[in-house]
Amino acid sequence: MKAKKEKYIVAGYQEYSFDVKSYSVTAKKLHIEQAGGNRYIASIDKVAFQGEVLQLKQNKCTVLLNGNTYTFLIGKEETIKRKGAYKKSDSGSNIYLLKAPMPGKIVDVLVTKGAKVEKGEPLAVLEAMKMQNLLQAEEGGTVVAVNARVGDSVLGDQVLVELKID
Amino acid sequence: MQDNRPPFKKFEQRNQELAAQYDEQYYKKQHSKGKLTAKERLDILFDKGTFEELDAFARPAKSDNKKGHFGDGLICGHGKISGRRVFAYAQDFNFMGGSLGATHAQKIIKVQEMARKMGHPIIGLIDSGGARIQEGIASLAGYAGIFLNNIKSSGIIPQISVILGPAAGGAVYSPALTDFIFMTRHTAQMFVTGPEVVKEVLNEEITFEQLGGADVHASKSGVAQFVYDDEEHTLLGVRKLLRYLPSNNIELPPADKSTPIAAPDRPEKLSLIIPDESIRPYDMLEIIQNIIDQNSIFEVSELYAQNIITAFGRLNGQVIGIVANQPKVLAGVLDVNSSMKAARFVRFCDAFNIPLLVLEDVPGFLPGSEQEHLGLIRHGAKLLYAFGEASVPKVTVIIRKAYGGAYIVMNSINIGGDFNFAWPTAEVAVMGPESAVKILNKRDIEKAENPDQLKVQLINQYKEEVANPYIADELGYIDEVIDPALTREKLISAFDLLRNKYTDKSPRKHGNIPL
Amino acid sequence: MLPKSILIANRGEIAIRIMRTAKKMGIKTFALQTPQEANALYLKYADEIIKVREENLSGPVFLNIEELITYAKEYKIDSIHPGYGFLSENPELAKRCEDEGILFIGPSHESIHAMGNKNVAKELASTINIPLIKGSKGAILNFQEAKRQAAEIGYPIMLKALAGGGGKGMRVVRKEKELETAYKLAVNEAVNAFNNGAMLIEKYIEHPRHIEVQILADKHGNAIHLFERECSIQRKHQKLLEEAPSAVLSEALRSKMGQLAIKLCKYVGYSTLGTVEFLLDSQNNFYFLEMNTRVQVEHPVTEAITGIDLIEQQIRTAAGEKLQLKQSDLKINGWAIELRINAEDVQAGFAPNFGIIDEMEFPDDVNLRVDTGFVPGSVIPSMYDSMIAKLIITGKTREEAVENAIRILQDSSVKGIKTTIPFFKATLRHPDFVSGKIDTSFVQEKLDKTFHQEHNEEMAAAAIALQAYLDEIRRIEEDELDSTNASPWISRMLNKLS
Repeated sequence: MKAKKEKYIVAGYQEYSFDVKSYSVTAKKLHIEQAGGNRYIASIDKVAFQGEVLQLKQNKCTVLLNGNTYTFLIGKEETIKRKGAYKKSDSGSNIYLLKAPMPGKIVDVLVTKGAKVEKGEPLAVLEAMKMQNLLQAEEGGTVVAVNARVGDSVLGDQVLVELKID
Repeated sequence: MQDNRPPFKKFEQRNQELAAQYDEQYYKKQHSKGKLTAKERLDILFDKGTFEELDAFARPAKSDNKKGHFGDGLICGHGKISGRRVFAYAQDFNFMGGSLGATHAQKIIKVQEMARKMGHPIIGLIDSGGARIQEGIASLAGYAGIFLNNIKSSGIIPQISVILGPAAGGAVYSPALTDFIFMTRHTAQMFVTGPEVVKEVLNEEITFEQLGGADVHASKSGVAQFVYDDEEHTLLGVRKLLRYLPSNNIELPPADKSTPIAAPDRPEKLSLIIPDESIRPYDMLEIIQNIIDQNSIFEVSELYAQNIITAFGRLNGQVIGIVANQPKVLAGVLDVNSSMKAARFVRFCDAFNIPLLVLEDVPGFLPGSEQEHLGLIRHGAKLLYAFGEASVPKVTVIIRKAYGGAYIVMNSINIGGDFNFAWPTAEVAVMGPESAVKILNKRDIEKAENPDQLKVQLINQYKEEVANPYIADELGYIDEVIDPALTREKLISAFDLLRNKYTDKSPRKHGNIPL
Repeated sequence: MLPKSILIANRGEIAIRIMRTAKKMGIKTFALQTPQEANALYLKYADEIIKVREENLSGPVFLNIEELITYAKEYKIDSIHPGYGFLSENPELAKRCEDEGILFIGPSHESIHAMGNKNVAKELASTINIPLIKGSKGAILNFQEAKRQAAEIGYPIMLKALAGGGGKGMRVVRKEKELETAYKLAVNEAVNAFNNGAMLIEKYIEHPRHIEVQILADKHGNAIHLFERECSIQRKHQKLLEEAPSAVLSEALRSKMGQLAIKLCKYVGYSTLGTVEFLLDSQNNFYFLEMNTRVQVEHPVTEAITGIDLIEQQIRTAAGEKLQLKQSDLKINGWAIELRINAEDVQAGFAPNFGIIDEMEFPDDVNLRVDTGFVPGSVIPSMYDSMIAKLIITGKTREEAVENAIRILQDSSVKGIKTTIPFFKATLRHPDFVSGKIDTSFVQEKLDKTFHQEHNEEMAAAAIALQAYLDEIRRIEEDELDSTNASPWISRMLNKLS
């Protein structure tokens, strides 16, 4: 990496822009140091924050700080500008995946393969912590796969139903 | 050099002509499409200032193009990646759409042969419109020469293809023959037949991305093992992969002395990750991350056949290949796709001296007509063959389920696993409790007063007596049942013992692995 | 006569709580060890552990009346304490205890039965002129009945499980077309939690405050109240934060509600601990909701402001002792707030966050009491609720208590799982909460962000993410690898060939 300054964009709930020089974040009133393992201490305006990196994969990073988790997408400013040039309309996926929002047990499956569903229609019922959660389709389309059966124990983010979006 | 005498002036002038090719327009052309130029890609791929171009002045076979007439749309050469020598070629889309002409192909073949002769990995940066129609059959002959070299080098040097633009028709076969394919989202596509012809012949409407984009090949077809959001990260991914691989099949994978070895800090957590109920899923990645060196995991084909995990990692600094069932997807069963994914990975590791670690929690093969009709028999056998044939150190840890044929396939001792450890939560059996009881005690249950209660009782009895690692342990089919917290130590010790492993091979041309 | 031994038919923090007091009173404690929680913290507090025979059970032992009675008889235990939840409001358990001569730490089975059925409780309350919310008549056992009664009462209505609480089996329905789905879900929840799908319907009062009065009665007709608790900070009808006393009650109103609660107890012949729940509308009119015939999760805040050990009083009155306390003895001393620290991800809609607690640290503070059933290294079992600890914070005034709570949370940290701590940080700072302008719609409507972020917090996290990312990139771009050795395979192969 060149020693010149480069601008990076870090996008979470909000977008932040940082100057980077020689693999270090350089910003006024901001100081970061490693604190062993995946822990870092960041001081902004003399206020110190202790954070832990929970996961770093390619350009996505999740940080735990003050009991909150933040997931960021990281990229160089010039790369993001360049990527803006290609057509976003031709995106590959027209599949909507219904994922379990939390771990639990499937107590009802309301659709079968081939069924046509509307946006907002309920697809399954997940029981967690003795509460029943109605899982609704966020897009309308045709069901191409039902991966859950009544009685299945599922983990958070597990894919339960796959829809081909109309 | 500053020498005004004619030979040296001519030399200087020619260099300047070449440099003039790479002007602002050259960069703008690719950037406007959201892509990087071949030059920039090589710059990112190689260690700073180490790339040396070969045959920069090669001319196209049919040259009527005045500008951009050096190189024939291909930059090739060698450089260093992480301090080790690597060959590479990058197709230049700016010249005739990066299409393959005779000279272009010849350059590629040249570096392929050099790489194989000298024992260094070769990386192809693909960004091409395909065969150059103007040169006709000569283009096809060029492709054939490239394919032949891919085949000759297979298993001798690591070959990596990085798809950064289109790769269509015949052009896809070179990547297909290489060890790993990287793709960039939105700008890279691979297909044998493009959407226009598909529409003509089959009347099927489909976009470039939907037919052969990065996500399609990463998750549906399994053709691409690595996908990234942009080119910089894709090329960094290639660098990252190379850090796990030896330069050729005679070498061992490299040590990484600049990163201190960081063991996971809470091995006691391992036994707590496994849920109490055998039917509940958990994330096998959490188990892996609490055994191997911290932050050392690098998954291969992460989005394809997610019911099995194939990844590189480091254990006490030593590179290992990890094959692990993933209980949170399809309960970790083996099916057509996962068998193929794992078999290919195992054979790669075997070819390049990378020891294998297997973490097992498999309830069996996926039943049903869909799998059977897709040839589960053939594809499942691939993984069995791959493990049996591999002569690298192979160690298995049975975490939970290990039923029936799947237990054998996942590197059991009897098909050649060097060490088989098991956790106290392991269940090694011909089949699971529910199925077993249904078969063994069918009559008793039918005749019983309260069949449901008897069934539950018998299942619990089976769980107690059979679904555990101790029978296998006593028969010697497991080497040791271990405390999960000690897994890392046991594995480091096992791989250390296996460091100089050697097995004899009967001479034969090659086996006939089911394909 | 006080029992000599006690079986705790419960787990987690409440089991520890009960055993603490029992020990203080010189009563021998027995706890039940289940295979799912074989290493649980509460077992360490018991004088003797009973290993549960899971093979005979179809559900948790804490819901199995016969098993509990069997253990009590087998081990010759004098009394059973049901804690909260599970069988604490099941009249069958109380009756079986009475039949077998085991002291049940709770009221008579008739009281439980009467108060346990919300409709019956409301009938009794209205007989002695305690104001009620308009509600359904009789138990609702099918959807048609639900539809009919809801239409009669008029939307918006609240569906409630007849036999339970804790937010399970409860749904607000604003329009008739939403009733069918709501009814189905509510009944499913009720059947799973309480084994009883019967429902009742009440008119839904908008923006009510939830005020409950703690009562204590002996078996000799004496009863007192120990003031109120406000539990308006709820989410999906589950309490998250409770305080004692309530910021909105005047002395007069407090006394009136207290006296009515006592009146109800005496009328039904109630004994031991109980809680009478009211809803307060925006005009400070109160309506009887229901009566809970057990010790409540939030009892510590009452203990904090009165200085009374409620479990001790519960055991004494159950054992037949006469109430030593008089109403005039009791005074409100300061303020107390309880925060239920649940293993939930408040950034993701309070989704339960199972896992292993890597670290759990709360500061050493004279204003802080921590009731927890877990230690670092514990796995949170997924079959029970998600509460991992209760923080009870006191202060001389409400303002002080809130300030203390903010300070204490600042110094608290839980790692390995997400918790509701950031939610409390946000709630305690909200101006409406600070000024006491709260009601049960607070979380839904007033709190626009369910987790608190310090100033620049996300920026700090972003900078850390970027630095970690750059560290990884630097490693990939700069670190050189060492030269490698020839593999032994090839050397042996070459030896073979030569």
